[in-house]
Amino acid sequence: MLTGQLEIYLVGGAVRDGLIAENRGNLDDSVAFEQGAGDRDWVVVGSTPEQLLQLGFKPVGKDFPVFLHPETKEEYALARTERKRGQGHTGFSVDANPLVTLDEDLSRRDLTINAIAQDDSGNLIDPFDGLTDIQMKRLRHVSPAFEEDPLRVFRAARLAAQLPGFTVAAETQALMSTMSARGDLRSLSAERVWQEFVKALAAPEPARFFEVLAACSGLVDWMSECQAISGSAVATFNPDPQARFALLPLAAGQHRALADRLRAPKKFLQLALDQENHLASLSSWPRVEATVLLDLLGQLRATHETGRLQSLIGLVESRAVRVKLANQLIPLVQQLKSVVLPEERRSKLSGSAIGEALDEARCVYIAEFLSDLPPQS
Amino acid sequence: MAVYAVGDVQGCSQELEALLKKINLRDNDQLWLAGDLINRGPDSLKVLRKLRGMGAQVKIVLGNHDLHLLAIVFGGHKPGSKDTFSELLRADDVEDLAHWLRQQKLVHIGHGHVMTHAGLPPQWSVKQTQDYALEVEAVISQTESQAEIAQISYREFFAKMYGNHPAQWDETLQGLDRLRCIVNFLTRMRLLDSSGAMDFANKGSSQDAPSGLTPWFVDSRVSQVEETILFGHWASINGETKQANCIALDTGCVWGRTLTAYNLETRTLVSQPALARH
Repeated sequence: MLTGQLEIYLVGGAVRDGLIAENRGNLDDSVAFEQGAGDRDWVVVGSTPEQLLQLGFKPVGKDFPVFLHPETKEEYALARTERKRGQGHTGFSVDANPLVTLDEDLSRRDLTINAIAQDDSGNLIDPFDGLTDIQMKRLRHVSPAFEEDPLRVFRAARLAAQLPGFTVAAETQALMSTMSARGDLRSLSAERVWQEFVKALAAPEPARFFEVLAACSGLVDWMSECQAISGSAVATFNPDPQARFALLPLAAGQHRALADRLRAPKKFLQLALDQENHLASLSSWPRVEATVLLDLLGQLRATHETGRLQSLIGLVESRAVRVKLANQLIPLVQQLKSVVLPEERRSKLSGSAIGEALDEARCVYIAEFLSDLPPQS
Repeated sequence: MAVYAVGDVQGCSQELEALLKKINLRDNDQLWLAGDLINRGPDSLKVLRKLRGMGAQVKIVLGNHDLHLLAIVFGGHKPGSKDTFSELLRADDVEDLAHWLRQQKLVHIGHGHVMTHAGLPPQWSVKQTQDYALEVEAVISQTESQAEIAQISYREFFAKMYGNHPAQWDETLQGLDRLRCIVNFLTRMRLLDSSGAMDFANKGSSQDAPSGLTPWFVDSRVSQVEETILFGHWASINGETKQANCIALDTGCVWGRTLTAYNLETRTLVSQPALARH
């Protein structure tokens, strides 16, 4: 085996999530929240980059001594220490010499539950008592170095959303408040904040992300629109982060402000705006005016491509209505493509009158279609 | 004496009155109606009272919406969320009107014309169409004493009338399946597949029906029929059949277009635009 001659430890999310599952008394239920299943991180102690390169590991990134296993593609990082040097994510000096110990590597990590290592016999190396915190369902920082990377505020909040029942320890909460109040979060890049935001949206309890941030005044700089979100206010019936973003209970125009500030991919804003403009009309299906429906389909360009319409249907809360929309509206859209003006009628019209006549024909088609749906729908 | 045939009124009482004024209908003229007198529009009750009051002057064939009302009054069905005849259902004379309605036909023939709500199924001759319609009419127009001894009473028929099957005609069909199939062909048919079975999912315009489906009137057997066929039911084709002997009378009044009257003698059309979108 390639790694046989190296001193390696499993670290991070894989260890944490395994222990959480074990703590729940259900090993089979081990869900890797942060990584995809099987996507594990390893620390290598006492080695040099040259050794790893010789063994065929592929280097990734230029700032950190991190490598990919040539076969498993899992991440192997040399044990390292970090010192904050200046502002921002890259403002660190990294020391990954072969004398850096496992404990030193674990001590630079953010939370105790993320600072547990496991050797190849399954023994835990847990210098900060992360196991107790897993049992107590507590997010506690490893050391004052927590404040060296402001993103950790968002990471802690995101973990609260991903790990049901976990709360932030009082001392960590205090430190997060200090960091927010000092304006540390402002130095982050929109991309890094967005990554945490979108992971939180995909988590089992996205509302916890906003609750934890609200409690440390961490919403102000990046997502002040989300101040009022709490409790069960975030809809989770659709697991897709795009859907959850669109369904965040925000006031008109706030989705746009938020998406712009976080530089969200365009599709997120698109669906959010479609939601603002059209979701109510779809939700009452099949009670919808033909003219309203025609306008909606036109704006979503549904007769060309049903992608936006399909995404919007995914936002309808009632499963029964979603099923009806899939079985009735989608076929209707396909059929609308076949509605054309007879040539002799078309030849008598010109300019905008053609479009108006076609709209009228489509409107009648829609009205008749809706009228013909079985009475129980 | 003039004879006029009018398309789907669907409770558009104002437009019906305006149209009758426009054609200057006289007491000795005949008024044919292609069915769907009620529902979706605002004044179903007024329309039924008016037509009933005209006595033998009107010849009515039933449409799917008229049968829907009968299924509610006699078959124990509930009105749907899109039905607009609650005023009619609450009226003191709703039972009277419904009993009168179930005396109406599914096919009416005269003056070289055949009228049904949906059209003439290509696989049926005019004679067959009349015979099959009669089978249904005999059930739905039963007297109470006939209903007691009948194999299928009109109430049972209305209770079990709904369903898309059988979608294909078969002379050996019996009982409720046979009656339902006849009713569907005469009141719900639009597009047929290559085997002549009804398709209920599509309402394609006559120009571009989905592949494999064709409007019932695009069939050489239909164009060979001597009589002119009058039908309603299909607003989205807006009066266009491109078949010389098929006149589509439903021009979508209830959807904001027009209510159309066809003069059987002069073979001309008169239309009344919708007065308001309902």
